[in-house]
Amino acid sequence: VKPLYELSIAEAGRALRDGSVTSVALTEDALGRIEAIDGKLDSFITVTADRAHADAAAADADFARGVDKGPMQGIPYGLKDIYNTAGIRTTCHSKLRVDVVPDADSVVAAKLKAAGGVLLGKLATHEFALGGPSFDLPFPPARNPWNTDHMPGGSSSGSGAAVAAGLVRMAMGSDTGGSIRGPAAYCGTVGFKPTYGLVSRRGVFPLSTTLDHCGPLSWTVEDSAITMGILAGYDKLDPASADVPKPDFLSGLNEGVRGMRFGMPRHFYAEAEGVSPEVVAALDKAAQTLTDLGATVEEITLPDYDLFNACGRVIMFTEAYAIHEADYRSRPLDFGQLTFMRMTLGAFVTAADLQQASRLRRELCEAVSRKLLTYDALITANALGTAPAFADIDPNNPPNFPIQTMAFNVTGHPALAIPTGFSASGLPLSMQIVGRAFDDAKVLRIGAAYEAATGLAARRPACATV
Amino acid sequence: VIPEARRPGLLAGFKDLRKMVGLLRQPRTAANEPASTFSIDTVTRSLNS
Repeated sequence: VKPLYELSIAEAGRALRDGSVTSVALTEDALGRIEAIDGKLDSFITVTADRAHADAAAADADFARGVDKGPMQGIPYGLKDIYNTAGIRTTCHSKLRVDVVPDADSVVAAKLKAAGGVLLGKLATHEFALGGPSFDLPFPPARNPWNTDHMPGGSSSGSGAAVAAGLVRMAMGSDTGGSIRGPAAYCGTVGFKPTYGLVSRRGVFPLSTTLDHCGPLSWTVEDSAITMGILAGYDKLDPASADVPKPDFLSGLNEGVRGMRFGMPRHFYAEAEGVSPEVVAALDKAAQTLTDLGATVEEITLPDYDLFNACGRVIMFTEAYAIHEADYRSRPLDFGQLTFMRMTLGAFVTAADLQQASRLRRELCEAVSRKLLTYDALITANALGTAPAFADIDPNNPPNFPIQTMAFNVTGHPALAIPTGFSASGLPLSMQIVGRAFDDAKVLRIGAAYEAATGLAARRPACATV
Repeated sequence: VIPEARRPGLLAGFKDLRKMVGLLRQPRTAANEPASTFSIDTVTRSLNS
Protein backbone atom coordinates (compact mmCIF):
# COMPACT_ATOMS: atom_id res chain seq x y z
CA VAL A 1 0.00 0.00 0.00
CA LYS A 2 1.39 3.37 -0.99
CA PRO A 3 1.69 6.12 1.61
CA LEU A 4 -0.87 8.86 0.97
CA TYR A 5 1.67 11.36 -0.35
CA GLU A 6 2.66 8.96 -3.14
CA LEU A 7 -0.88 8.79 -4.52
CA SER A 8 -1.10 10.79 -7.72
CA ILE A 9 -4.04 13.09 -8.32
CA ALA A 10 -5.63 10.36 -10.41
CA GLU A 11 -5.04 7.69 -7.73
CA ALA A 12 -6.17 9.94 -4.89
CA GLY A 13 -9.25 10.82 -6.92
CA ARG A 14 -10.19 7.17 -7.24
CA ALA A 15 -9.64 6.66 -3.50
CA LEU A 16 -11.80 9.68 -2.70
CA ARG A 17 -14.58 8.31 -4.85
CA ASP A 18 -14.49 4.73 -3.51
CA GLY A 19 -14.47 6.07 0.04
CA SER A 20 -11.09 4.63 1.03
CA VAL A 21 -9.72 8.08 1.82
CA THR A 22 -11.14 11.51 2.59
CA SER A 23 -9.97 14.92 1.50
CA VAL A 24 -9.52 15.80 5.16
CA ALA A 25 -7.13 12.86 5.54
CA LEU A 26 -5.15 13.86 2.43
CA THR A 27 -4.98 17.41 3.72
CA GLU A 28 -3.92 16.50 7.26
CA ASP A 29 -1.24 14.25 5.80
CA ALA A 30 0.05 17.05 3.57
CA LEU A 31 0.03 19.64 6.37
CA GLY A 32 1.88 17.18 8.61
CA ARG A 33 4.51 16.61 5.93
CA ILE A 34 4.96 20.36 5.44
CA GLU A 35 5.46 20.71 9.19
CA ALA A 36 7.97 17.84 9.28
CA ILE A 37 9.93 18.45 6.07
CA ASP A 38 9.61 22.02 4.88
CA GLY A 39 11.88 23.45 7.54
CA LYS A 40 14.73 22.03 5.46
CA LEU A 41 13.32 23.12 2.11
CA ASP A 42 11.61 26.49 2.67
CA SER A 43 9.32 25.78 -0.25
CA PHE A 44 6.29 27.48 1.35
CA ILE A 45 6.06 31.19 2.09
CA THR A 46 2.54 30.95 3.50
CA VAL A 47 0.79 27.78 4.64
CA THR A 48 -2.98 28.31 4.43
CA ALA A 49 -3.96 25.62 6.94
CA ASP A 50 -7.35 27.14 7.84
CA ARG A 51 -8.29 27.53 4.20
CA ALA A 52 -7.09 23.98 3.49
CA HIS A 53 -9.20 22.54 6.31
CA ALA A 54 -12.26 24.41 5.03
CA ASP A 55 -11.68 23.37 1.42
CA ALA A 56 -11.20 19.74 2.43
CA ALA A 57 -14.30 19.66 4.60
CA ALA A 58 -16.32 21.19 1.76
CA ALA A 59 -14.97 18.62 -0.70
CA ASP A 60 -15.85 15.73 1.60
CA ALA A 61 -19.32 17.17 2.15
CA ASP A 62 -19.77 17.43 -1.62
CA PHE A 63 -18.72 13.80 -2.09
CA ALA A 64 -21.18 12.77 0.64
CA ARG A 65 -23.99 14.65 -1.19
CA GLY A 66 -23.07 13.10 -4.52
CA VAL A 67 -21.66 16.37 -5.91
CA ASP A 68 -18.60 15.74 -8.08
CA LYS A 69 -16.83 18.78 -9.51
CA GLY A 70 -14.19 16.74 -11.31
CA PRO A 71 -10.72 15.35 -10.78
CA MET A 72 -9.33 18.13 -8.54
CA GLN A 73 -12.13 17.85 -5.99
CA GLY A 74 -10.58 17.22 -2.60
CA ILE A 75 -6.98 17.32 -3.91
CA PRO A 76 -4.43 19.51 -2.07
CA TYR A 77 -2.27 21.79 -4.25
CA GLY A 78 -0.03 24.86 -4.01
CA LEU A 79 0.32 28.16 -5.87
CA LYS A 80 3.49 30.06 -6.66
CA ASP A 81 3.31 33.26 -4.67
CA ILE A 82 2.74 35.47 -7.69
CA TYR A 83 -0.81 34.11 -8.20
CA ASN A 84 -3.32 36.48 -6.61
CA THR A 85 -5.43 34.83 -3.93
CA ALA A 86 -8.37 36.73 -2.42
CA GLY A 87 -7.75 37.42 1.25
CA ILE A 88 -4.37 35.65 1.25
CA ARG A 89 -1.16 37.65 0.91
CA THR A 90 0.63 37.44 -2.42
CA THR A 91 4.18 38.60 -1.85
CA CYS A 92 6.06 37.80 -5.06
CA HIS A 93 8.79 36.88 -2.53
CA SER A 94 9.58 40.58 -2.30
CA LYS A 95 9.94 43.26 0.36
CA LEU A 96 7.92 45.50 -1.96
CA ARG A 97 4.79 43.34 -1.60
CA VAL A 98 5.27 41.62 1.70
CA ASP A 99 1.88 42.79 3.04
CA VAL A 100 -0.16 42.81 -0.17
CA VAL A 101 -3.46 40.96 0.22
CA PRO A 102 -5.41 40.86 -3.06
CA ASP A 103 -9.16 41.37 -3.17
CA ALA A 104 -9.70 38.86 -5.95
CA ASP A 105 -8.36 35.51 -7.09
CA SER A 106 -6.31 35.10 -10.23
CA VAL A 107 -8.20 33.18 -12.91
CA VAL A 108 -6.14 30.07 -12.18
CA ALA A 109 -6.78 30.27 -8.42
CA ALA A 110 -10.49 30.78 -9.06
CA LYS A 111 -10.68 27.78 -11.42
CA LEU A 112 -8.90 25.47 -8.98
CA LYS A 113 -11.18 26.67 -6.18
CA ALA A 114 -14.29 26.12 -8.29
CA ALA A 115 -13.01 22.65 -9.17
CA GLY A 116 -12.99 21.72 -5.48
CA GLY A 117 -9.21 21.78 -4.94
CA VAL A 118 -7.67 22.28 -1.51
CA LEU A 119 -5.24 25.20 -1.30
CA LEU A 120 -2.34 24.30 1.00
CA GLY A 121 -0.47 27.56 0.57
CA LYS A 122 1.70 29.93 -1.41
CA LEU A 123 5.09 28.84 -2.63
CA ALA A 124 8.52 30.43 -2.81
CA THR A 125 9.67 32.06 -6.04
CA HIS A 126 12.58 34.09 -7.24
CA GLU A 127 11.67 37.70 -6.46
CA PHE A 128 9.04 38.83 -8.99
CA ALA A 129 9.86 35.60 -10.88
CA LEU A 130 13.15 37.21 -11.90
CA GLY A 131 15.84 37.59 -9.26
CA GLY A 132 17.20 34.65 -7.30
CA PRO A 133 17.99 32.53 -5.52
CA SER A 134 18.63 35.26 -2.98
CA PHE A 135 19.36 35.48 0.73
CA ASP A 136 18.56 39.20 1.02
CA LEU A 137 14.77 38.89 0.70
CA PRO A 138 12.07 38.68 3.40
CA PHE A 139 11.86 34.90 2.95
CA PRO A 140 14.65 32.36 2.44
CA PRO A 141 15.13 30.70 -0.95
CA ALA A 142 13.67 27.23 -1.49
CA ARG A 143 16.14 24.35 -1.51
CA ASN A 144 16.48 21.26 -3.66
CA PRO A 145 15.00 18.14 -2.01
CA TRP A 146 17.60 15.90 -3.69
CA ASN A 147 20.41 17.84 -2.00
CA THR A 148 19.61 20.88 0.07
CA ASP A 149 23.01 22.43 -0.63
CA HIS A 150 21.78 22.87 -4.20
CA MET A 151 19.24 25.24 -5.68
CA PRO A 152 15.90 23.93 -6.93
CA GLY A 153 15.94 26.15 -10.01
CA GLY A 154 13.70 29.07 -10.60
CA SER A 155 11.76 30.99 -10.64
CA SER A 156 9.05 28.51 -9.58
CA SER A 157 11.50 27.25 -6.97
CA GLY A 158 9.06 26.41 -4.20
CA SER A 159 6.74 24.67 -6.66
CA GLY A 160 9.52 22.35 -7.85
CA ALA A 161 10.78 21.62 -4.35
CA ALA A 162 7.31 20.99 -2.89
CA VAL A 163 6.29 18.59 -5.65
CA ALA A 164 9.57 16.65 -5.53
CA ALA A 165 9.39 16.31 -1.75
CA GLY A 166 5.83 15.01 -1.94
CA LEU A 167 4.33 17.97 -0.08
CA VAL A 168 1.89 18.59 -2.92
CA ARG A 169 0.96 16.52 -5.97
CA MET A 170 0.68 19.62 -8.13
CA ALA A 171 1.88 23.18 -7.78
CA MET A 172 1.31 26.02 -10.19
CA GLY A 173 4.33 27.74 -11.65
CA SER A 174 4.85 30.42 -14.25
CA ASP A 175 7.31 30.32 -17.13
CA THR A 176 8.78 33.37 -18.87
CA GLY A 177 12.19 31.96 -19.80
CA GLY A 178 11.98 28.50 -18.27
CA SER A 179 10.63 29.10 -14.78
CA ILE A 180 8.47 25.97 -14.82
CA ARG A 181 10.79 23.72 -16.79
CA GLY A 182 13.97 24.74 -14.96
CA PRO A 183 12.74 23.80 -11.47
CA ALA A 184 11.20 20.66 -12.97
CA ALA A 185 14.62 19.75 -14.37
CA TYR A 186 16.57 20.44 -11.21
CA CYS A 187 13.99 18.83 -8.89
CA GLY A 188 13.17 15.81 -11.09
CA THR A 189 9.49 16.61 -11.61
CA VAL A 190 7.21 17.02 -14.60
CA GLY A 191 6.67 20.64 -15.62
CA PHE A 192 4.40 21.83 -18.42
CA LYS A 193 4.50 25.16 -20.21
CA PRO A 194 1.35 25.15 -22.35
CA THR A 195 0.97 26.91 -25.67
CA TYR A 196 1.02 30.70 -25.23
CA GLY A 197 -2.57 31.82 -24.74
CA LEU A 198 -4.01 28.51 -23.58
CA VAL A 199 -4.11 29.37 -19.85
CA SER A 200 -5.13 32.83 -18.63
CA ARG A 201 -2.45 34.87 -16.85
CA ARG A 202 -4.94 37.35 -15.45
CA GLY A 203 -4.26 38.01 -11.77
CA VAL A 204 -0.72 36.61 -11.94
CA PHE A 205 1.99 39.21 -11.34
CA PRO A 206 3.62 39.72 -14.75
CA LEU A 207 7.31 39.46 -15.52
CA SER A 208 7.14 39.92 -19.28
CA THR A 209 3.72 39.81 -20.87
CA THR A 210 5.08 38.79 -24.26
CA LEU A 211 6.64 35.66 -22.79
CA ASP A 212 4.66 34.81 -19.62
CA HIS A 213 2.90 31.45 -19.40
CA CYS A 214 1.08 29.71 -16.53
CA GLY A 215 1.34 25.96 -16.05
CA PRO A 216 1.64 23.10 -13.58
CA LEU A 217 4.50 21.16 -12.02
CA SER A 218 3.53 17.66 -10.93
CA TRP A 219 5.02 14.29 -10.14
CA THR A 220 3.34 12.53 -13.09
CA VAL A 221 2.40 13.58 -16.61
CA GLU A 222 -1.17 12.48 -16.00
CA ASP A 223 -1.46 14.93 -13.11
CA SER A 224 -0.35 17.78 -15.34
CA ALA A 225 -2.89 16.65 -17.93
CA ILE A 226 -5.63 16.63 -15.28
CA THR A 227 -4.64 20.15 -14.20
CA MET A 228 -4.62 21.42 -17.77
CA GLY A 229 -8.14 20.07 -18.24
CA ILE A 230 -9.26 22.46 -15.50
CA LEU A 231 -7.15 25.48 -16.44
CA ALA A 232 -7.21 25.66 -20.23
CA GLY A 233 -9.76 28.03 -21.68
CA TYR A 234 -10.35 31.38 -23.30
CA ASP A 235 -10.32 34.53 -21.16
CA LYS A 236 -11.28 37.62 -23.09
CA LEU A 237 -9.78 39.81 -20.37
CA ASP A 238 -6.28 38.39 -20.94
CA PRO A 239 -5.24 39.99 -24.24
CA ALA A 240 -2.97 37.05 -25.02
CA SER A 241 -5.64 34.43 -24.39
CA ALA A 242 -6.45 32.37 -27.46
CA ASP A 243 -10.05 31.72 -28.47
CA VAL A 244 -9.51 28.10 -29.46
CA PRO A 245 -11.39 24.89 -28.67
CA LYS A 246 -10.39 23.42 -25.32
CA PRO A 247 -8.24 20.32 -25.91
CA ASP A 248 -9.09 16.95 -24.38
CA PHE A 249 -5.91 16.23 -22.45
CA LEU A 250 -6.84 12.83 -21.05
CA SER A 251 -8.69 10.66 -23.54
CA GLY A 252 -5.65 9.91 -25.72
CA LEU A 253 -3.03 10.22 -23.01
CA ASN A 254 -2.10 6.54 -22.97
CA GLU A 255 -2.19 5.85 -26.70
CA GLY A 256 1.59 5.82 -27.06
CA VAL A 257 3.95 7.15 -29.71
CA ARG A 258 4.00 4.36 -32.30
CA GLY A 259 4.31 5.87 -35.77
CA MET A 260 5.23 9.35 -34.57
CA ARG A 261 8.22 11.29 -35.94
CA PHE A 262 10.42 13.34 -33.63
CA GLY A 263 13.03 15.93 -34.57
CA MET A 264 16.07 16.31 -32.35
CA PRO A 265 18.07 19.57 -32.67
CA ARG A 266 21.22 18.03 -31.23
CA HIS A 267 23.30 21.04 -32.25
CA PHE A 268 21.30 23.14 -29.74
CA TYR A 269 22.84 21.42 -26.76
CA ALA A 270 25.58 18.97 -27.74
CA GLU A 271 27.95 21.79 -28.71
CA ALA A 272 26.77 24.30 -26.12
CA GLU A 273 29.11 25.83 -23.57
CA GLY A 274 28.82 24.14 -20.19
CA VAL A 275 26.81 21.12 -21.31
CA SER A 276 27.24 18.02 -19.18
CA PRO A 277 28.07 14.77 -21.00
CA GLU A 278 25.51 13.13 -18.70
CA VAL A 279 22.77 15.35 -20.17
CA VAL A 280 23.75 14.45 -23.74
CA ALA A 281 23.96 10.74 -22.92
CA ALA A 282 20.55 10.83 -21.22
CA LEU A 283 19.01 12.48 -24.29
CA ASP A 284 20.53 9.87 -26.59
CA LYS A 285 19.10 7.18 -24.34
CA ALA A 286 15.70 8.92 -24.38
CA ALA A 287 15.77 8.96 -28.18
CA GLN A 288 16.46 5.21 -28.12
CA THR A 289 13.58 4.66 -25.69
CA LEU A 290 11.19 6.53 -27.98
CA THR A 291 12.48 4.52 -30.94
CA ASP A 292 11.89 1.30 -29.00
CA LEU A 293 8.32 2.48 -28.42
CA GLY A 294 7.77 2.66 -32.18
CA ALA A 295 8.61 6.27 -33.02
CA THR A 296 11.20 7.63 -35.42
CA VAL A 297 13.79 10.10 -34.15
CA GLU A 298 15.78 12.19 -36.64
CA GLU A 299 18.42 14.84 -36.08
CA ILE A 300 17.33 18.28 -37.33
CA THR A 301 18.75 21.78 -37.53
CA LEU A 302 17.15 24.89 -36.07
CA PRO A 303 18.49 28.45 -35.83
CA ASP A 304 21.26 28.73 -33.23
CA TYR A 305 20.04 28.62 -29.66
CA ASP A 306 21.90 31.85 -28.92
CA LEU A 307 19.45 33.69 -31.19
CA PHE A 308 16.45 32.44 -29.23
CA ASN A 309 18.18 33.32 -25.97
CA ALA A 310 19.14 36.82 -27.06
CA CYS A 311 15.67 37.53 -28.41
CA GLY A 312 13.92 36.31 -25.29
CA ARG A 313 16.21 37.94 -22.77
CA VAL A 314 16.11 41.34 -24.44
CA ILE A 315 12.30 41.25 -24.46
CA MET A 316 12.12 39.92 -20.88
CA PHE A 317 14.53 42.45 -19.36
CA THR A 318 12.85 45.33 -21.16
CA GLU A 319 9.32 44.40 -20.14
CA ALA A 320 10.37 43.62 -16.56
CA TYR A 321 12.01 47.03 -16.28
CA ALA A 322 8.93 48.73 -17.72
CA ILE A 323 6.66 46.98 -15.20
CA HIS A 324 8.84 47.92 -12.21
CA GLU A 325 10.19 51.26 -13.43
CA ALA A 326 8.43 53.43 -10.85
CA ASP A 327 9.63 51.33 -7.89
CA TYR A 328 13.06 50.95 -9.47
CA ARG A 329 13.44 54.72 -9.57
CA SER A 330 11.91 55.50 -6.17
CA ARG A 331 13.12 52.62 -3.96
CA PRO A 332 15.70 50.60 -5.94
CA LEU A 333 17.43 49.12 -2.91
CA ASP A 334 14.20 47.49 -1.72
CA PHE A 335 14.62 44.99 -4.53
CA GLY A 336 16.92 42.08 -3.82
CA GLN A 337 20.37 42.47 -5.28
CA LEU A 338 19.93 39.87 -8.05
CA THR A 339 16.57 41.34 -9.09
CA PHE A 340 18.04 44.82 -9.15
CA MET A 341 20.95 43.75 -11.31
CA ARG A 342 18.83 41.80 -13.81
CA MET A 343 16.22 44.52 -14.05
CA THR A 344 18.81 47.20 -14.60
CA LEU A 345 19.71 45.54 -17.90
CA GLY A 346 16.25 46.44 -19.16
CA ALA A 347 17.06 50.11 -18.72
CA PHE A 348 19.95 49.74 -21.16
CA VAL A 349 17.88 48.30 -24.05
CA THR A 350 17.18 50.76 -26.85
CA ALA A 351 13.92 51.01 -28.76
CA ALA A 352 15.73 49.72 -31.84
CA ASP A 353 17.04 46.71 -29.90
CA LEU A 354 13.52 45.83 -28.85
CA GLN A 355 12.16 46.23 -32.36
CA GLN A 356 14.87 43.95 -33.71
CA ALA A 357 14.07 41.38 -31.01
CA SER A 358 10.42 41.50 -31.99
CA ARG A 359 11.23 40.92 -35.66
CA LEU A 360 13.60 38.08 -34.81
CA ARG A 361 10.90 36.53 -32.67
CA ARG A 362 8.61 36.19 -35.65
CA GLU A 363 11.37 34.57 -37.71
CA LEU A 364 12.25 32.08 -34.97
CA CYS A 365 8.61 31.22 -34.41
CA GLU A 366 8.18 30.51 -38.09
CA ALA A 367 11.36 28.39 -38.19
CA VAL A 368 10.21 26.13 -35.35
CA SER A 369 6.64 25.92 -36.69
CA ARG A 370 7.97 24.95 -40.11
CA LYS A 371 9.91 22.03 -38.60
CA LEU A 372 6.80 20.95 -36.76
CA LEU A 373 4.94 20.58 -40.05
CA THR A 374 7.15 17.54 -40.62
CA TYR A 375 7.55 16.27 -37.06
CA ASP A 376 5.01 15.44 -34.36
CA ALA A 377 7.31 16.96 -31.74
CA LEU A 378 10.86 18.03 -30.99
CA ILE A 379 13.01 16.33 -28.35
CA THR A 380 15.71 18.52 -26.88
CA ALA A 381 17.67 19.42 -23.78
CA ASN A 382 16.29 21.29 -20.80
CA ALA A 383 18.95 22.25 -18.23
CA LEU A 384 22.41 21.50 -19.61
CA GLY A 385 23.61 20.22 -16.24
CA THR A 386 22.40 19.34 -12.79
CA ALA A 387 21.22 21.81 -10.14
CA PRO A 388 24.05 24.19 -9.18
CA ALA A 389 25.07 24.57 -5.55
CA PHE A 390 24.14 27.71 -3.64
CA ALA A 391 27.84 28.16 -3.00
CA ASP A 392 28.34 28.75 -6.75
CA ILE A 393 26.25 31.95 -6.71
CA ASP A 394 27.98 35.31 -6.55
CA PRO A 395 25.38 37.87 -5.42
CA ASN A 396 27.40 40.62 -7.07
CA ASN A 397 27.38 38.90 -10.45
CA PRO A 398 24.06 37.28 -11.36
CA PRO A 399 24.67 33.80 -12.72
CA ASN A 400 23.42 32.56 -16.07
CA PHE A 401 23.15 28.84 -15.47
CA PRO A 402 23.07 26.88 -18.73
CA ILE A 403 19.50 25.99 -19.60
CA GLN A 404 17.74 25.93 -22.98
CA THR A 405 14.15 26.71 -22.22
CA MET A 406 13.84 30.30 -23.49
CA ALA A 407 13.45 29.15 -27.11
CA PHE A 408 9.86 28.07 -26.57
CA ASN A 409 8.85 31.14 -24.60
CA VAL A 410 9.97 33.11 -27.65
CA THR A 411 7.97 30.90 -30.02
CA GLY A 412 5.06 30.05 -27.69
CA HIS A 413 5.05 26.33 -28.51
CA PRO A 414 3.98 23.90 -25.76
CA ALA A 415 6.97 22.36 -23.95
CA LEU A 416 7.03 19.58 -21.38
CA ALA A 417 9.93 19.03 -18.97
CA ILE A 418 10.29 15.39 -18.03
CA PRO A 419 12.98 13.53 -16.08
CA THR A 420 15.49 11.46 -18.07
CA GLY A 421 17.46 9.99 -15.17
CA PHE A 422 20.08 10.96 -12.62
CA SER A 423 23.66 12.13 -12.65
CA ALA A 424 26.42 10.21 -10.90
CA SER A 425 26.00 12.71 -8.05
CA GLY A 426 22.35 11.69 -7.64
CA LEU A 427 20.77 14.86 -9.04
CA PRO A 428 17.98 14.73 -11.64
CA LEU A 429 18.39 15.16 -15.41
CA SER A 430 15.62 16.30 -17.74
CA MET A 431 14.57 16.89 -21.34
CA GLN A 432 11.94 18.91 -23.18
CA ILE A 433 9.25 17.61 -25.52
CA VAL A 434 8.02 20.45 -27.72
CA GLY A 435 4.89 20.27 -29.84
CA ARG A 436 2.87 22.21 -32.38
CA ALA A 437 0.93 25.20 -31.16
CA PHE A 438 -2.27 24.07 -29.39
CA ASP A 439 -1.28 20.43 -29.82
CA ASP A 440 -0.61 20.31 -26.07
CA ALA A 441 -2.48 17.04 -25.64
CA LYS A 442 -0.04 15.25 -27.94
CA VAL A 443 2.95 16.63 -26.02
CA LEU A 444 1.50 15.20 -22.82
CA ARG A 445 0.73 11.90 -24.57
CA ILE A 446 4.37 11.58 -25.67
CA GLY A 447 5.50 12.41 -22.15
CA ALA A 448 3.18 9.82 -20.65
CA ALA A 449 4.52 7.11 -22.97
CA TYR A 450 8.12 7.99 -22.15
CA GLU A 451 7.40 8.21 -18.41
CA ALA A 452 5.77 4.78 -18.39
CA ALA A 453 8.68 3.26 -20.30
CA THR A 454 11.35 4.62 -17.96
CA GLY A 455 9.69 4.13 -14.58
CA LEU A 456 11.65 7.10 -13.23
CA ALA A 457 8.68 8.40 -11.21
CA ALA A 458 9.27 5.57 -8.72
CA ARG A 459 12.39 7.26 -7.30
CA ARG A 460 11.84 9.99 -4.69
CA PRO A 461 14.37 12.12 -2.81
CA ALA A 462 15.36 10.74 0.57
CA CYS A 463 13.81 13.66 2.46
CA ALA A 464 10.37 12.76 1.04
CA THR A 465 10.33 9.44 2.91
CA VAL A 466 10.84 11.00 6.36
CA VAL B 1 23.61 55.99 -7.56
CA ILE B 2 24.56 52.38 -8.11
CA PRO B 3 26.22 50.88 -5.02
CA GLU B 4 29.91 50.19 -5.52
CA ALA B 5 29.60 46.44 -4.87
CA ARG B 6 27.05 46.06 -7.67
CA ARG B 7 29.05 47.82 -10.37
CA PRO B 8 31.26 44.91 -11.56
CA GLY B 9 28.26 42.60 -11.90
CA LEU B 10 26.26 45.25 -13.73
CA LEU B 11 29.13 45.88 -16.10
CA ALA B 12 29.39 42.16 -16.83
CA GLY B 13 25.65 42.03 -17.44
CA PHE B 14 25.83 45.04 -19.72
CA LYS B 15 28.56 43.40 -21.80
CA ASP B 16 26.41 40.26 -22.15
CA LEU B 17 23.48 42.42 -23.18
CA ARG B 18 25.49 44.19 -25.89
CA LYS B 19 26.52 40.79 -27.30
CA MET B 20 22.88 39.73 -27.34
CA VAL B 21 21.55 42.83 -29.07
CA GLY B 22 24.25 42.35 -31.72
CA LEU B 23 22.73 38.96 -32.52
CA LEU B 24 19.31 40.53 -33.07
CA ARG B 25 20.42 42.40 -36.19
CA GLN B 26 19.54 40.06 -39.05
CA PRO B 27 19.12 40.98 -42.73
CA ARG B 28 15.53 42.10 -43.25
CA THR B 29 13.52 44.35 -45.50
CA ALA B 30 11.88 47.50 -44.21
CA ALA B 31 8.53 45.80 -44.77
CA ASN B 32 9.25 43.06 -42.25
CA GLU B 33 6.77 43.73 -39.47
CA PRO B 34 7.59 42.87 -35.87
CA ALA B 35 5.79 40.11 -34.02
CA SER B 36 4.20 42.61 -31.68
CA THR B 37 2.02 44.29 -34.31
CA PHE B 38 -1.25 44.27 -32.47
CA SER B 39 -4.64 43.08 -33.54
CA ILE B 40 -7.52 45.46 -32.91
CA ASP B 41 -9.64 42.40 -32.10
CA THR B 42 -7.58 41.40 -29.08
CA VAL B 43 -7.33 44.84 -27.55
CA THR B 44 -11.03 45.63 -27.87
CA ARG B 45 -12.62 42.27 -27.23
CA SER B 46 -13.19 42.93 -23.53
CA LEU B 47 -15.63 45.66 -24.63
CA ASN B 48 -17.81 43.13 -26.44
CA SER B 49 -20.21 41.41 -24.11
